[in-house]
Amino acid sequence: MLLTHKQVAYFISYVIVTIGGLVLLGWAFDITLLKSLQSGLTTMKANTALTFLLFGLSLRFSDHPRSLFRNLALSFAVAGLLISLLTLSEYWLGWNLGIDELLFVDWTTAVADFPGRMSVATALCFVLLGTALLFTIFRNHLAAHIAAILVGFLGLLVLLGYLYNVSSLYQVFVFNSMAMHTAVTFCLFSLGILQLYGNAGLSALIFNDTAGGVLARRLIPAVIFVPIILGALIVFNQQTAAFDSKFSIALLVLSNIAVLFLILLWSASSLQTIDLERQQSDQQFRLAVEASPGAIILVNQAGKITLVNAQAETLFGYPREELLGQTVELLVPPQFTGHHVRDRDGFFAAPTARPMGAGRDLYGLRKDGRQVPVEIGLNPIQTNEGRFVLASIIDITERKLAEAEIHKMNWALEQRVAERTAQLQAANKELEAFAYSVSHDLRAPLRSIDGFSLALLEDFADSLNDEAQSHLQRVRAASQRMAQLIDDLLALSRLTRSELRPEPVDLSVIVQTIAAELQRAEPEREVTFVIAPAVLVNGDVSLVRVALENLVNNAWKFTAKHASACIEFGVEERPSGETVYFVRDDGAGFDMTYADKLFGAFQRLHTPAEFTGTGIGLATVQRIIHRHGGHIWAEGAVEQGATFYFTLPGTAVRHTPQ
Amino acid sequence: MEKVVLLVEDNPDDVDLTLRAFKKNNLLNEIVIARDGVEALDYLFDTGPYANNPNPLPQLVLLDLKLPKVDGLEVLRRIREDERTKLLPVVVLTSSKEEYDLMQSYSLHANSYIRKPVDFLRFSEAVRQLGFYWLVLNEAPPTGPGDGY
Repeated sequence: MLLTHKQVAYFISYVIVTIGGLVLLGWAFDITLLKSLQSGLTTMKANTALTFLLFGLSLRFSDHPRSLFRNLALSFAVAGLLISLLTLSEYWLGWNLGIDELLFVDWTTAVADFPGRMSVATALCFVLLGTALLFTIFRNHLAAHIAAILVGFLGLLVLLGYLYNVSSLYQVFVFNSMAMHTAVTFCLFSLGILQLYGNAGLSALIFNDTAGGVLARRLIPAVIFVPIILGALIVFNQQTAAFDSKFSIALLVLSNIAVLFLILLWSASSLQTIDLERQQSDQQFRLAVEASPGAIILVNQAGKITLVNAQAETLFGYPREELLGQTVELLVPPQFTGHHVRDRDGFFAAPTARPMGAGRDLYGLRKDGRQVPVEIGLNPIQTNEGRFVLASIIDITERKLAEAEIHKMNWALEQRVAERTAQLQAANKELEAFAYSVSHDLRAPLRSIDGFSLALLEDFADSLNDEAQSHLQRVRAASQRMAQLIDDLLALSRLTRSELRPEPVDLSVIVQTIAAELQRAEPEREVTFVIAPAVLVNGDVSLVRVALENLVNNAWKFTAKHASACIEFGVEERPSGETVYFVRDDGAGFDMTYADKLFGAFQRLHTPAEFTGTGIGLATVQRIIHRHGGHIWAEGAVEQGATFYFTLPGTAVRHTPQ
Repeated sequence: MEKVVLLVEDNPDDVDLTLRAFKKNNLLNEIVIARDGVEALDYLFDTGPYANNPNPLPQLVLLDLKLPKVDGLEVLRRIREDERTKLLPVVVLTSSKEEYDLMQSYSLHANSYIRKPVDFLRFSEAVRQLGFYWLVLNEAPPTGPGDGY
């Protein structure tokens, strides 16, 4: 429909009002065209035009939202009815109320034929029309439509009379006959009333989407025009006497049969197509529903199941005959039935497509009493038959099993992790015990070696020559060295096992303390310390101290050969944003070629004759720095000192710039 | 009164070296050797072989921790538990620098903790200082009533 029914009805009402208005103008200015279309033909009377005007307005406003206009429509309809009823009474009772020429004087009609008075047919049609309008206003659409159709038929009859030139039709009584445009206007009005409420009353039969409506709309033209044409042929035959009259009747009957048969075939074909389409669409729907991997249940507003698919039968264990027509609570486990009805009503009140029972575990109840874990999605559906809910139900037993498996595996994993941790802790404990015994048991023999070598040296000095004494000294030195190595190794191993306890540490203070100790131990040395103040980091206090001790002690040791020295501790911001700390000395330095050997355990770049040391110190420092997540590297040149850089990330460093 | 020093040490080398150190430093006290915890306790409490041969308490006990049979910490505990020996000066003289041993020794009220250096010269020096302090400088606690007075 390009226009809605109401738009068509309103349009018709405007047309009718225009016609009425024009005819009145015609009477006012004596325009023959408007009064009777052609001179000699019956005129549309002024009262007729007025009544059309009134009824036209009534039609337009009969369904207005504001009651003022509806009351206006009512009063117009009543007014028109009054006019027509009075006219009829004039005919019936034979009196003259003086209303016929109230507006204008009718010169065209003879006095004996009641000038200005509308014909009986017209008045009758108006009465019917008025009644139809009242029915419409009071919403009895069926009655309104019946009345409207009667009016339409009467108008059509008059028009057929004009068409077949049957004067008796429009001169049923000796009185005035209906004008042609009056008849047309009646037909139009009839259509207008039918269209005003196109979805109610008789219009509903014609203007709907079902096969019946489609068929009705297709057939109406045929039903109306085919008989008219056939009738015209008969009239023509009568007037020209082309065929014998009885033969012509036989011919008419046969043509009637033929045409009706053709119409029948055409209708049958249309219905067949429509029905096939519907069947196909039904089948598609059914296939879609049956093919769904999940169970589907359609529930109406009263909670009754109206459709299920095969999966629903399998899931719940009922054949579909036992499900259809039952309340859906049949499938709800007893612990939920209580609020399920409430939830259902709530859903219809505010229908949205959503999963059901968000966050809750849902269960369905099978025929055999078993409860199945499910997931349910709800979809509201609006059809001509009302509101429905389409529930898609999926059996999630497997998913739940999988989840349980995962939980179990997680738990088992946690157990294993706990076991592993316990094992590691036990291993650590063993290592500690081992280190403990090593530290004790390995030293004792060393003590003996050293002690008795010295005893030899002291007690038997006379019997031992220089060479012998030198041998013994070397024995002593070696054993002392080994003791130192043991200590260093133990310290290093302890480092990896101990826990890191990060806290804010002031590096400057630590370096100052170490520096002070060194100067106290060897006051004769001339060493200048340049220490950046208030350098704060996050780290383990004892480990950081050990690292700095190693670095500063190294700096002290390797500047021993110089008369005076400068040892520096500071911090730099690199362009990359890294904060880098350093300990710098201007002592013996090292060859950069061997830089990568610096931090290996027991690696030394100097002989023991040049500088003492076990070579563990830097390995220790590196281990400590790495445990803090940082890295350490060195730069140096022979006899030009060395700088050791390191980072301690994860530190919120606050330091005053140098 | 002779001031006796009880040396509790299982390692014979260490015993000899300690004696040598004492001699070299002119500490002429009598040194009694106990080779394990049991011997030490027997000597102190006049039990076992000393049952019929009681002796006065020593002036100083030099106690190694790693001993067979009853170890040093246990000996220390027993010394501190007994009324007679509760006040006895005990110096733990051991190789171990383990924190645990330190903690335990002081918790059990050892008077001092000395770590034996490997270098004999330093060891000798340590003994000299030790001996001088505990045997000469330090005032020994008063001995109990049942001891000859």
